[in-house]
Amino acid sequence: MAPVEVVRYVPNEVDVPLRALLALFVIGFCVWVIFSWARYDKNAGQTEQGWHKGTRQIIELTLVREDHDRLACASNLTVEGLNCGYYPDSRPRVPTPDEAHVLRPYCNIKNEVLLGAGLWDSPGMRGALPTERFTVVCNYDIVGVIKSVSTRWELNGKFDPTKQSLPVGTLTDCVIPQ
Amino acid sequence: MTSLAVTARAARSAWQRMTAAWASASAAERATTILLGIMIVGGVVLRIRAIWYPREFTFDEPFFVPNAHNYLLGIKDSNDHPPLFKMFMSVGILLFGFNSAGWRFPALCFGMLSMLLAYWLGKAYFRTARAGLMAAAFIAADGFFISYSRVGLMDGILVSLLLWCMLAAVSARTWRGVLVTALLAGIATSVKWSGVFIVIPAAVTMLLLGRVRFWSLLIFAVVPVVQAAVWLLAARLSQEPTDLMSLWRHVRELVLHHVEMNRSSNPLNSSWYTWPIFYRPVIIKNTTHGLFRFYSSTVGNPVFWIAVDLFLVWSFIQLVARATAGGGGIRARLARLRDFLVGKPVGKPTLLMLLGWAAMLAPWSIVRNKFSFTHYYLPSYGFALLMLGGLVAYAERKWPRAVLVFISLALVMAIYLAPIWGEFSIRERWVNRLLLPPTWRP
Repeated sequence: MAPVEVVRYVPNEVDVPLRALLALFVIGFCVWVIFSWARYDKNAGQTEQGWHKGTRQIIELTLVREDHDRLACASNLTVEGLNCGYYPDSRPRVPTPDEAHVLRPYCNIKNEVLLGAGLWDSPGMRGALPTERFTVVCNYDIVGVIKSVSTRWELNGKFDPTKQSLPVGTLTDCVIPQ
Repeated sequence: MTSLAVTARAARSAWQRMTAAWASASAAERATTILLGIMIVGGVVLRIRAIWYPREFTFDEPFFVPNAHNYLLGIKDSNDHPPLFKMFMSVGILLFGFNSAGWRFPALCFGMLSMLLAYWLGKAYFRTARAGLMAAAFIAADGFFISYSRVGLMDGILVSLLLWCMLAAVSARTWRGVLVTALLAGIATSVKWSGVFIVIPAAVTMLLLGRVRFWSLLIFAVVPVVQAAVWLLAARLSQEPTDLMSLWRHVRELVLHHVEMNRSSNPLNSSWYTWPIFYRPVIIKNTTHGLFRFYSSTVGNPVFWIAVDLFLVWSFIQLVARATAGGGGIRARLARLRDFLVGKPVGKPTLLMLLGWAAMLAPWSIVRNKFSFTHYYLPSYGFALLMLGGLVAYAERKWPRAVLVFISLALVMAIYLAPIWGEFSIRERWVNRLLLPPTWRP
């Protein structure tokens, strides 16, 4: 191996901390490039892009058939005739709302949580459902937003208050894509 | 020769030195180098991935983010900490908008800078690039630093500025270097007041290295001046009074408020002596999506903090044994203590890192010892990992295979805990398997 030519850059006492400042700017630029490449504007906004009251979104949910009984929300509020199946103290709502108007929490494949009614009443869901986890695509018509709501994700789980506002809407034309 | 040509030749020379070092390294050392590289790359990925989740405020972010936004709107900052961290955060919001990417941007940048600073510091203090590489990899693969790079809070930024200040201190040759060190100490103090304690290890570093004159340490008097300048700039941005009397009244009120806080209590309170064993780390990001949890825990890498704690206990036992062993008078005992402290493996660099560790613990063990939280340990822990980097690099010369085993264990532990450091999607029962001690759980 050829002998190593030793040429050392000897920074002066001010260069060393300045080098760290330069490094900070380079890191900041790289982070900016990564954020832009990862579409931070779509991912970091507090509300989902285009999720406004009165709009219709196509959403994709993954479910198991037991979710009909497991998923539930608790709130006193009623939005456009849609309400949760439970009161805030975890008592079932009386009279029991019909399937088309009872809200349940769902988490779509982008990890966005929403409250929807009508999924299990949709014609595409009336037949025999798969025994394994399956995907459903629905139209989601947003009719409002509520903040004072608790959600439950297991049949005997407790209702946990949500930390963020959740969109409320109806789920229609749900199909299990083939 | 132009400076560009010198830099190019120096870069080529550095590359040649690196390849020569690789060629002469043993198989164990090469394997260790690869594992350290994996730690650094993995640490960068864990810091960046999906940093914008959750999209709403988490942990203490509501205290800081709206106030950072206020600087852009020209409204009063009502937070009880110095303004600089929020001003950094407002730069992020200016670049990316008022969203989670914007307010977490500065913590991420400084978090990554800390790795680089650890490399430079380890290299400068322990006089070997290997110690720098170890220190950088340890900071990269530790959950305490990862979690604080992923959240809009100030402690990660504070650590970065403290390391930067120590880098300036070890590089100082004349009063100019001391001035740069003091300016950085002032900037760190403008992020969080506890940062002022960095003046102690920085000044002792300069004195021990003997490169600057004693009187030049008087330059540290600029620390409060820097702080005042930052406050006045903040007051101007938020359209508050910019006279010194108003500033004095405001700062005095905040100091009294912080003193008063020592009488408060909080469910997350923990005493400073529990921090080195991570008795009660805080989960600073905790969100739920359906059945899945996303956690960012501040628990450090157990392989690292147990090693640090064992070294501290061993050093303490050695000191006590040498001081109390029979034979000789007080001079002989002092000589034995001195031999231990300046000899290997301790030595001056380790002592200075220990001093940094102790100095950053001082505000919470002496001044405000009741209303305190595990994350106040982050600056001390930074110095502890730097010290560990130097010690492991020293040990590698004698026992390269043992060090390879140590680094492998640390990497395995990092991979095991990565899901609860970097907010992976996991079910609750898995969280409890990862956060084994009940005090680690939310």
